[in-house]
Amino acid sequence: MSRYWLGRVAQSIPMLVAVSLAVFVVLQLAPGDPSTLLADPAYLDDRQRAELRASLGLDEPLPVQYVRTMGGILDGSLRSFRTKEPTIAMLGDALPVTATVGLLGLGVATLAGVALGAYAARQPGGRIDRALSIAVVSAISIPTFVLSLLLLRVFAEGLRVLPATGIRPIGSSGIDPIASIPHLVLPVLVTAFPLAAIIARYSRDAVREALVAEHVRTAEGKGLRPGTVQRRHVLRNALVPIVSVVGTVAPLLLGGSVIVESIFGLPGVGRIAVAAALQRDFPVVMTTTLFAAVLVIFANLVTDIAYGYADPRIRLR
Amino acid sequence: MNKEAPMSSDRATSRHTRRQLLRASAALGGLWLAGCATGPSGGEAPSAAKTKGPRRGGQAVIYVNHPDTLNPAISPVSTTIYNTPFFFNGLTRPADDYLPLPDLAESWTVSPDGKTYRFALRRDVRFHDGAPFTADDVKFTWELYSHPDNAPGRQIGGFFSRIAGARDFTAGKASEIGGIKIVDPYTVEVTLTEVYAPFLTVSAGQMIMPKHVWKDAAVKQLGAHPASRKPVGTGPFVIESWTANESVVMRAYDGYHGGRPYLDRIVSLAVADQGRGFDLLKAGDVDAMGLYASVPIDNYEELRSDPRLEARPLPGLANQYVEFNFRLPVFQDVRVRKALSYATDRRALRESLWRGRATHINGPIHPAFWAAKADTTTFDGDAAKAADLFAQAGWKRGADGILEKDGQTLRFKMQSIQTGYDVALQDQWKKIGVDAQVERMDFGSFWAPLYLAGKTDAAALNLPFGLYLDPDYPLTGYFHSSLNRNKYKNEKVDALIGQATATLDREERRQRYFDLQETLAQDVPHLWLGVPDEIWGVRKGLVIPKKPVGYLTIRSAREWYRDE
Repeated sequence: MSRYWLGRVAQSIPMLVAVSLAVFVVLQLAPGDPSTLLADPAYLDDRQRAELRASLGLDEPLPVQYVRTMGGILDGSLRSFRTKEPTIAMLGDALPVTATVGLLGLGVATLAGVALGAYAARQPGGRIDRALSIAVVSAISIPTFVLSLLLLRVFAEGLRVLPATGIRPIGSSGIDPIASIPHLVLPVLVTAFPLAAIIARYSRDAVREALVAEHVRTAEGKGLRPGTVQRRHVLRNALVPIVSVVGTVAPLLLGGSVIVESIFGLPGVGRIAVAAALQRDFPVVMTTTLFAAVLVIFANLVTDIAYGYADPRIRLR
Repeated sequence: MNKEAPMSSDRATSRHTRRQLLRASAALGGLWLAGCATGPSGGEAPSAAKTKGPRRGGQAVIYVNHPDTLNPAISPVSTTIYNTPFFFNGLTRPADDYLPLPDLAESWTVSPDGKTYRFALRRDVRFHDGAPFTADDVKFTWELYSHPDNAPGRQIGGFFSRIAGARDFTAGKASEIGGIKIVDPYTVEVTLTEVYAPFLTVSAGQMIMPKHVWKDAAVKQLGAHPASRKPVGTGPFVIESWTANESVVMRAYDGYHGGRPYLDRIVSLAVADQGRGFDLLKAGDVDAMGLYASVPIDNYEELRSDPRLEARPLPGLANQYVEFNFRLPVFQDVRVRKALSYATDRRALRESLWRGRATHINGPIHPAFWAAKADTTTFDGDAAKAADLFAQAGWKRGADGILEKDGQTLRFKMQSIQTGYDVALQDQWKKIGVDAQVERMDFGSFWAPLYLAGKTDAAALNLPFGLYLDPDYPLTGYFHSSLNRNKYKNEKVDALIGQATATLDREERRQRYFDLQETLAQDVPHLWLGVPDEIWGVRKGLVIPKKPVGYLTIRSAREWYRDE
């Protein structure tokens, strides 16, 4: 088994190289020289502008720049063009925020989605099932920022029961989980909302399919208690497709974090990534995209492992 | 099932684009995108009617765009320029009309030939870490700005290049700037190679840094030094924490030489954009927003009608304009430039785009400056005169209604980083037979590849002014034929720009600048359209003194206080 997983990890290395190369090339193609955004080049002569470019390493041949960038990410020496902080440190500072919101959101979405889906599956075409369908379509259609602003209007600016911005009380610093809880409520809900809808939809179908399977009828026929049938024979079988949905939506969290973090003023990875892309902060762009790639690969690995638990037939020896 | 993701990331990008463009444009020294405006005179009644006078205590939460660094030596962009005065001082500081007032220098004398300045420094100044401020710090800082390895700060180094020996030092040919002499620990004497009027305002106004903190730092690595994020200065506030993309927290410096600030703390929040900033202002999370983070014009009435908030419109810091590129033969004819100016209805732009909250400033000198000329000639809003001028220049309407001359149609591209007035102009000009084809782009795609490379046809952008400390600032880069990007060349303009800094006689300088402004107005190398006002929103209970512009408002932070 471990050999198989080692193989899987090894496979991901060429994938990461390919992703990093692609991003690097795209950055080179993007119009606009990063050095021109750091100072006002209207006041620099050509020699001075060349000097500024050189200070960022932009004067070197592209292959050298690429290797230097990748090496710098690995050993932590790569620094942002703008803030001059090590990009790994920037990522490290921002990641706990994004991970907390993302994982809590995914957890809430999974629990709510599976519960709703399983409930709706019991009476296909019934009132609850139809209500769920409508809810799912609406939930997927409402843009995150609309939902976020709506919730903020109501709970932060109207009722004033939840804070409107930040991951901790304004003006405080450092980590205080208790103080952060109210700050997490809305971002987690907003993150969970569309995911829950997607998961509910898939769970409903998966549970439905399992419910009508012959072995379930047999179990029912044998006179097993409905709860036992649900747990052992229905949910267990429905779990494989559900796990794969959860595994697929997990990387979307990073994309969603971009909006959620901007609106709720959270200092997470999404904000860093977008700011860096628009400011041509190449080292930060490279670091965050590589991180996203690692995350996708990792999520897929975890999904595969989870399959094994859900369905022993897939388990590898 | 992936529907949500791409949709939302598009939205995010557009939200960010506005903000990021704004920040990116800070590199220009202050581009201003959000169209927002108000006549500077249209403010609200002062909030301090019932005030009992300044009191100590309390905190203010403000929304100001965060800088990349708090090291003033390496980042000549607006976010750094308006964030560093919380923590640092120059030898001089700007008065409300931008004339120099004493700050770390308590007085100075100028030699009769205007080339030697002798600064007497305050003896009661200590850095935040307790170390005394002396003449060593002045020489060290000025050399740091000019250092051969300080490529990012080269533009600031330019403010010191007229000190005797500075060019050799920057070229690596000397180990120090000979023209800066430490007479005693509290006296500095500087000798310039030529008379340079902005020296007292711009050069001596640059932030002074502590030698003992920075002396061993590698100049190439200044940005990575911890003190670039946790500045040690002499300024009214001491940094407490800076969390990226979240907040900068600063507390009053008890030992401040200008008197301890009234507020105990200021928290500056990083907010994604102005719309969100205004939400937070209304919700009570933010007490003040303004500089480069104006309340959006769409929210102006809401701001005005909210009794808990004070609306304070200030003149903005960017003149919206179209720049004609003289590489196109059509723009070399002043009659065509004038005709386009006549074909422009600035009042309509102001009313429709900026809801009347903009001022037309027909020149490159901000009205807050003593050198601004209020009555330069403007060729505006007269279609008949425009038609006349086109006819004189030999342009006639063709079959499709577009003007033609020698088989050429009057059609050009207008590269734009503005939203709003570019297409409004396109409409206005179409009526007289000019076909301007608008190409909108993001700042990064526009700035270096097109604008700096001189490849635009006509560019819709804005001229930053009022953030720098002398009217000289935007002139050389945008109008002198040696540096401008549109190949405009008028020897009189070149000469006036030089002459205006080569005398210390303010009246003479003013006359040169008046002459320059009128010459440019007649030449129309730029088509100035309006300066949208910067709308400050201040929550009642926080008293912020009235200043002529946002930058000076920020610099008055020591005097802000709580009144509730």
